[in-house]
Amino acid sequence: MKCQQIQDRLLTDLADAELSVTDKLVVDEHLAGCSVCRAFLASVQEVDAQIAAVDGSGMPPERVWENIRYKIEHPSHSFREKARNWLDGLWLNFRPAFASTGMVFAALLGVIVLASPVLVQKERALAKADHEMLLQLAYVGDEGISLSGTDRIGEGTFVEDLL
Amino acid sequence: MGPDIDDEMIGRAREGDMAAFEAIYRYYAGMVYRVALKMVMRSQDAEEVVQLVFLAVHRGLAGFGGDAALRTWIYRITINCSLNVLKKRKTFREVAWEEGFDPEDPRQDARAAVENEALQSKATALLAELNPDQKACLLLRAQEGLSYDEIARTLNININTVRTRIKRAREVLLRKKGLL
Repeated sequence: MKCQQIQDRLLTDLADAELSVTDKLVVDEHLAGCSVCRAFLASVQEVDAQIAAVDGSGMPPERVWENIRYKIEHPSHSFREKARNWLDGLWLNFRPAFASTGMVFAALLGVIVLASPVLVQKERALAKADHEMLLQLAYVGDEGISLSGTDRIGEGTFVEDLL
Repeated sequence: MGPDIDDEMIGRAREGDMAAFEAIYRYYAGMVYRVALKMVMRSQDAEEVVQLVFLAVHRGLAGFGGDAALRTWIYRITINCSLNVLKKRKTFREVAWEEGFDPEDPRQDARAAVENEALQSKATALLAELNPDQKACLLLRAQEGLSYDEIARTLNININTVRTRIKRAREVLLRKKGLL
């Protein structure tokens, strides 16, 4: 393994004891012969030690429990509080469902946005075709009037036959 | 920490036994407070998180089937509540306090001063460099000793996402210390 690959492992799996026995042997072997990676490991350990040194502040103040007990024993009857609790519960229990529904809506929206230019184009093409057909009809109508005295268009000739 | 929490105690708390619920609180409150404090970085917000977490636990115990360990479930609620408080803090400057909190209590100032000193430590400054997702993963690993698999189950994310967030978090910290 190259130093970059080893250092990726040092940042995660080795530091967190998630490395397999075989991989650990490979990493240890590399470390034995590479001072750069040894220095890198020391830096990772230094940072970890600093984070671990921030110990908890023990228990929260007693009033926190008193507030919790009070709220449990005297549940609020206000609509706002009830609605908030209900929404919290809904969110906690159905978060994956909300996420998948959101994704479906996003996909639908994407399809609509992507498809709309195509639909608009089609509509324009149809409108253009209609317009051209109307122009042709008008032209044939004019011709029909001007040629009505000749034999070129006899009585009972339908316009569609001329198109 | 009080006595160990077994299924019987969870069952009694579920049925409304306040003494059993208090035992659960006494057992886990320190852990919740520790994680919350490091997530939200302010003792007042951390106390709010503790309240939100245990009120949610009390409401959710009825539906808690034991498919996940109680500890994992509480970690998950703690992280979610901390993230919500962080979001709220961005939206509102003032934090609404529950009944019973007296901001005029002089003990608040003394304790806040001590905690403030602790919060100014190098490690806290380092943690402040991380985004909430990275911080949650690194804290659950480095502080709470959860495995990648446990973190993934706690946060409902992929194990590779856990690995990536922890790696990014350590890179940020190393860079901040000038070691990378």
